[in-house]
Amino acid sequence: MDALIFMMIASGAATLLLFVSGLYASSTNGQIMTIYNYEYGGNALIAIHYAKDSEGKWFWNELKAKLSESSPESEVSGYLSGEAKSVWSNITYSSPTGNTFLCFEGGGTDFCYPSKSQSGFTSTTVYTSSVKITPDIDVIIKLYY
Amino acid sequence: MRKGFIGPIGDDLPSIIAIMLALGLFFSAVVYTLDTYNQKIADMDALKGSIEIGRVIMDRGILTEVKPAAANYVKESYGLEYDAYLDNDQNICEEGAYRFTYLVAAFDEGSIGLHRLTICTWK
Repeated sequence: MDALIFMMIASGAATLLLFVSGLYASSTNGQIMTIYNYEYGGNALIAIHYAKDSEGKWFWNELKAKLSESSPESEVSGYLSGEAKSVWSNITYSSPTGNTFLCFEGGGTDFCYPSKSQSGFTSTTVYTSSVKITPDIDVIIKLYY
Repeated sequence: MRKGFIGPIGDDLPSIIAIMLALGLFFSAVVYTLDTYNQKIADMDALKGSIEIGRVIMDRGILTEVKPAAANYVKESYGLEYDAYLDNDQNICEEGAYRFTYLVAAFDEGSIGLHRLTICTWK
């Protein structure tokens, strides 16, 4: 009887250990991947300061100029799908996720490229990195998973 | 000689088998758990090392060398190997390697431009 009780306790402990190790093995390296996503975003924002569009103009200066227009959303959207298409392609091809957005917030501006309503995604996990382009407006890279 | 008596150990044989089985099961689980734990730690270390290598190569978003000497110290301290490629959209990393991509500014024949950097790391 004692041996049976011992066997049951040992089997229970073994099952518990296997369960815990299974959980541990299947856990994602979330924290490390979070660091990577933030590093991607931060570096991308630095890098695009050095980008030029297809006409050889500095991307950052052009973006700033488009944001000061009366309809910044359509100006920026037209720019990113026109002369600055290669810059946008570089962003999307290098991005760790398929849902990458370049957003502009502050000073009455609040929109993203591409427009979120067009893309129809349902992700909730988001990593953002931002930098000011004007004293009021932030440029934000948003990575959705 | 008593009928059915097979010695002092023989009487306890069913209990001994049960205890041995239980101990065997328990210690197998312990070994498996430790192995899983060690593998996970090694996996996390490799990921951390890969990100460190990326950080050294990019040098705050501006690439000066695709394979700088400083990255060798990092790869050695993590026991990793790595390769870095510019503007390659193919999945060039070998199977089992980690692949990290970045957007970087890099010097290119006197001017500076936007590039995609892919870093593959493996043990």
